[in-house]
Amino acid sequence: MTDWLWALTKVVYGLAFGLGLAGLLTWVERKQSAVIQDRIGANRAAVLNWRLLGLFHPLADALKLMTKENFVGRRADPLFHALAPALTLGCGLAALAFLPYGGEVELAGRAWSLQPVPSPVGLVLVMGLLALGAHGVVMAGYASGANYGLLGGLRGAAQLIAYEAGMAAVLAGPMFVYGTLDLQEAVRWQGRLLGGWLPAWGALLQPAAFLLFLTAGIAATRRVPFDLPEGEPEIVGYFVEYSGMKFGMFMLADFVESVVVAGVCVSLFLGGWQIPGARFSGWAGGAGMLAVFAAKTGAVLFLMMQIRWTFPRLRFDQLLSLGWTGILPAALANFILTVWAVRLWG
Amino acid sequence: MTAALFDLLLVLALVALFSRSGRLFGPSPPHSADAELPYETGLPPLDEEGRGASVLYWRFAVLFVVFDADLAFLLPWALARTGLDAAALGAVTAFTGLAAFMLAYLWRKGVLSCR
Repeated sequence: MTDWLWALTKVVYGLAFGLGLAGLLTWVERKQSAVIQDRIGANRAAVLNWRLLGLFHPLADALKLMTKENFVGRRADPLFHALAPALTLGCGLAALAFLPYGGEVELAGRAWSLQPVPSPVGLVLVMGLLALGAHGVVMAGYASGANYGLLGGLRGAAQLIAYEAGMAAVLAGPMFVYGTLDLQEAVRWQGRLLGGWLPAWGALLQPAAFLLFLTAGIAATRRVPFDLPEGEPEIVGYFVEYSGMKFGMFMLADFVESVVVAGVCVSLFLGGWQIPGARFSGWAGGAGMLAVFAAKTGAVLFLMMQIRWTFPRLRFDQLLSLGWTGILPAALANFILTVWAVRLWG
Repeated sequence: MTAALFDLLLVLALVALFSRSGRLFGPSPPHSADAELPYETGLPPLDEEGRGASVLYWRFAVLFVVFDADLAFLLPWALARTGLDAAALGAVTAFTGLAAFMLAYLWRKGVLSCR
């Protein structure tokens, strides 16, 4: 009984973490862009005249989107039209359960793992779910029965596969260093100190992989400068034929996937829930680990947002050649150099 | 295992709620036939959709199938980290080298160019 409740609590925490941060990101997106562009930004939604820096806007968005008409065009394929946003968002949400939000806490005579679903192949599962989510993009384009929707879907497919192939090769390097495919094990491995003072974080041991993963990760979540499948200022996009919460699900999926990518980035490159030199024990330690992981994820997300509002968008051929002739060869080189370095210097 | 099951059920419930919310809470006004046309120029679409889709995308799809099936095999090497003898080192170098050679060949042939 306790085990069941604990499992349920952890899974709910993972979902709340992802959905909460995703909601917050819609606010951050507006406020951060406003600060960058010297505007005030969203500040109108209020509860009892209480505006709280516009923090009620995500709530207002959700209410508005959920009470909009469900519109399906005449040429659309109703089954796949409905399935596409569910697949994209569902895969992103499911991946949240595999992130290591914390280590283990000893309490009441047993160890409580803070990872919702511990798995020896956690990384492969997360990558697989992200790749499966990409199918929703293609499906939406196909099922819309509209030229612009299809064009967006095709662009999405070409982009996602360009960076999907690169991402597997990029992650092979750090995973070889850690000697595992388990995200929790990877975090623990980074707990050691190099030369007694330098934390063995992936970003320091595998700086090239860190930068490549961040780039491929932003591309995989379809954010600017890689937002060509959506084309925010144009009408080309795989979700032009969607309305209400079904459109909202695609929007939310982008943010949830950003959270997942940031979480994987933190686990593999930034030491996960660990702080060099700090030991966590008891309830306070558990809360501490969760807070450290959340803070690091927030920092990576902030960086991704900063990139989104600073860089112009790439042209489509630039985007494809960056994936195929930039990230992929660099990742292969990084992997083989890593293997040799580990073999020679251990 | 229980946690994975909970994850699946909760995600399905959330996604179902979001998908149905338009029907549950939204209005359903009658539309004219024109309103149900795809969102384009305001004129009736001339073609069936997808008539002008570029062959470029197909080429990259084929490339992806070849490369992703290959590169997925890089990940399991992580588990061989401790027992990597000279023969295994040679094998992994040859494997990665072959993938890199394939990529270089395609690049040289101009398959990776988008113009």
